[in-house]
Amino acid sequence: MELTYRPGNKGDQVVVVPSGDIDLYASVAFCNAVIARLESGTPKMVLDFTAVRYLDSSGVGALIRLVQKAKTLGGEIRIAKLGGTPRKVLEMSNIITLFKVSPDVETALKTWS
Amino acid sequence: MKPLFIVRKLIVDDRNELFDAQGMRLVEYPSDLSKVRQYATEVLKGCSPKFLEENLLEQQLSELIKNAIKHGNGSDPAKTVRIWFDLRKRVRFIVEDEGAGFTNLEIWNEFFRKRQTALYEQDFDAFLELASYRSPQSDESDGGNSLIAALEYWNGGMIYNGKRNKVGVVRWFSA
Repeated sequence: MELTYRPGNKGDQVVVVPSGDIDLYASVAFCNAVIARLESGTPKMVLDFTAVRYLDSSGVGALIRLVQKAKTLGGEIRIAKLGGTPRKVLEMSNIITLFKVSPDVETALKTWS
Repeated sequence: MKPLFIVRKLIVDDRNELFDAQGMRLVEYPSDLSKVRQYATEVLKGCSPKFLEENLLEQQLSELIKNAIKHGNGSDPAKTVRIWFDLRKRVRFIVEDEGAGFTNLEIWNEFFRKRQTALYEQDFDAFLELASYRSPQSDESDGGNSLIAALEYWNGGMIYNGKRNKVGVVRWFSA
């Protein structure tokens, strides 16, 4: 699992691009790294799931913790380019209801007030 | 008018036909948490791509194996996980561990009822609080939602035996 970051359209926004599987072996490191980024002044975050092909319950749990953390910081987590197994797993667990899902990163950023 | 509100739940039924292992293949693995996905991949070798649904079947089978190794056997390498499988007309598994059984099953069912009620009532603050099931044994890598997705995924049934250390599941696919 690799993470890359790029700035959003405003100073409190960030785009995070995970690459690889968010599974029981990677989810804790993923969660801790992204929470640190949320706490560093960018609580509005878009997760670009273009390169995520596998998400398990540990990864879903990590995403739930990110939503909870963002909420305490007055921010929000959005997901772009969600498809395949990660989308199905989020749908089956109903967790998709916690996110605004966008077709691409630009749309996710653009619709932020 | 709101749609009908139905909450699924985990069921215990020792005599259920999902525990009939006749004609199923059996493999046995030591409780090595680092090999959960490897075990699932081995079991699914040769499985029809239609059943695999990219890697969704591997993901769901991995959850069952992880639960058996981690929560059932406490990751004790001396304890094994037994997996019966049949991948012919549909996918069917029985996964058994050597643990004391899922003693919190009724607590989990009550958690799930509250969670789904919050969702039905669109109380998203309550839903966020209830999004993950947590028990005293949960650690930070436990997502607390594998059984929720499993109840949805295993569309032909998901049944525990009386001791609750064995689960039988089946998923059907349209023609």
